[in-house]
Amino acid sequence: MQSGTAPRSLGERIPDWLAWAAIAGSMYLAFIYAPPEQTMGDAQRLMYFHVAAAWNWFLAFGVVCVAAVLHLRSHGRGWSRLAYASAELGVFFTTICIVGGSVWARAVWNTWWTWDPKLTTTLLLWFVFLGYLVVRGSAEHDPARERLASVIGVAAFFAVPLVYFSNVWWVGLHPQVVTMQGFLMPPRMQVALMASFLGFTVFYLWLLGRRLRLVAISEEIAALRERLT
Amino acid sequence: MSPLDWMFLGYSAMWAVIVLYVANLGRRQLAAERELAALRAVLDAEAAAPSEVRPPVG
Repeated sequence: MQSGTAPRSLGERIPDWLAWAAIAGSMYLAFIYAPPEQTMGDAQRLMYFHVAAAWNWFLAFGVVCVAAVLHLRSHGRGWSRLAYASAELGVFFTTICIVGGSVWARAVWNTWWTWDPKLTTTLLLWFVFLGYLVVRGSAEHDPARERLASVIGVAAFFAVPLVYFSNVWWVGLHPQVVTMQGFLMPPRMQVALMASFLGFTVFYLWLLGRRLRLVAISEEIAALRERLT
Repeated sequence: MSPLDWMFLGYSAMWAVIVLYVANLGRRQLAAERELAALRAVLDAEAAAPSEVRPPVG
């Protein structure tokens, strides 16, 4: 059997276990440690992953914006790779956020989807970054297209504050648990939510490392193919 | 459905997204690593016996 890849050492597997343990730990706190909410009951526990996923797409798209700006300034391809890898993860976390939020909405609002400002702007953000992924994915070593993708990445980031402040600027149903004044919830719920933030951040960093490696390998494959033709 | 049922449904749906993405990422990475190893093997073979792979022109 020809695998073409070397088996990974124990040391190389430690980040994998750390990432999954961080998620498992945050789930334990969300399910066991945090008390049930008085009106929504256990359905409210969906909030821990939903809000943590939302925090992660804020982070991921923030990284896209910073990396895209640095790419446009320095023309370093490493920044473009970082923006590309982080954008895919941002879309991934937005998907988790929308899926979990939709089930919560069905349980609490009795509808899977409503055109609430926060939901609508989040969906808009999801589509905008999908557009970025399409443009960057088709760049294929073309510096001009990579620069175009970076311009889109920077412009798309303006949708992020739009999502956050949508509840402030327009009247909506979506609850705001994380505000400028802090967390609007009891202390044990705050601990569980902070643990979810931490767990998801570790998970994001782990996925970012793997996704960056994949981008680097794909580019090396393209360069070797060029040498062979 | 009870609030507990909705909680399990929601977490199952979110975990389905997570597992599908991570599995897909792992599959793409494995395929890319194999392709890279195969291309390197071709280049090594070419370097070892250049005349057989690419005859000199002229």
